[in-house]
Amino acid sequence: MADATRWLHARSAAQAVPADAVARLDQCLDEALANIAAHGGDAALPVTLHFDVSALAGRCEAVLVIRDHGAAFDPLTIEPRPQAGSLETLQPGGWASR
Amino acid sequence: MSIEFTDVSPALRRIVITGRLDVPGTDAISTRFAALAASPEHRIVVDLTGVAFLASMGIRALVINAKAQQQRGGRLVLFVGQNDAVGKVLDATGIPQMIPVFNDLADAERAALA
Repeated sequence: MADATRWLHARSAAQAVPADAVARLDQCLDEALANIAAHGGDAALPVTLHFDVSALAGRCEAVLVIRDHGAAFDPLTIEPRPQAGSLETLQPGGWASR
Repeated sequence: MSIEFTDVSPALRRIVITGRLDVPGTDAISTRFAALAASPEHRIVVDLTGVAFLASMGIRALVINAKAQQQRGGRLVLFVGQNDAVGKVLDATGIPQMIPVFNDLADAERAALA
């Protein structure tokens, strides 16, 4: 996972991706890989990463594709947890910590 | 990744975490963090001003230790200073409604001891 982070930062630096965009991509990469490790296990391997920056009509776009081989599911079928009202009832995980 | 602590007083401990609180970074400090935050004699201020990146695994560690302190009658608060990268992630996940977050160290220490 640390290797993937270093790879993202190196590729982003080579393409002069702005720091705030790199920070968002970094969050996405870490969360996706954490989910693959937690829920996919060995069956999800190999994981492939693809990073591309393009400029179209004066607009720059960075795309990070993270692909694994785990069993597919529809995330929209998962009922979000109710938002916790206090630290006592807060259960970390799921769709952020809300 | 590092985690250090200072016992500011017999009742207050400041835990300073630096580096990336992503999956590997959180793994690296989680055992020591839990041990330091579990002190029954101290209220806890966690200094996140040197944290360059905060992911959900890091938030999970903060929540688990804040809950553990609260369950034993203590209190854990967070000090972020001017660390916008960490502050934005905490705001986006609703953490400040659950664990007090401060920009000023003196405010954080007062709140921990309140």
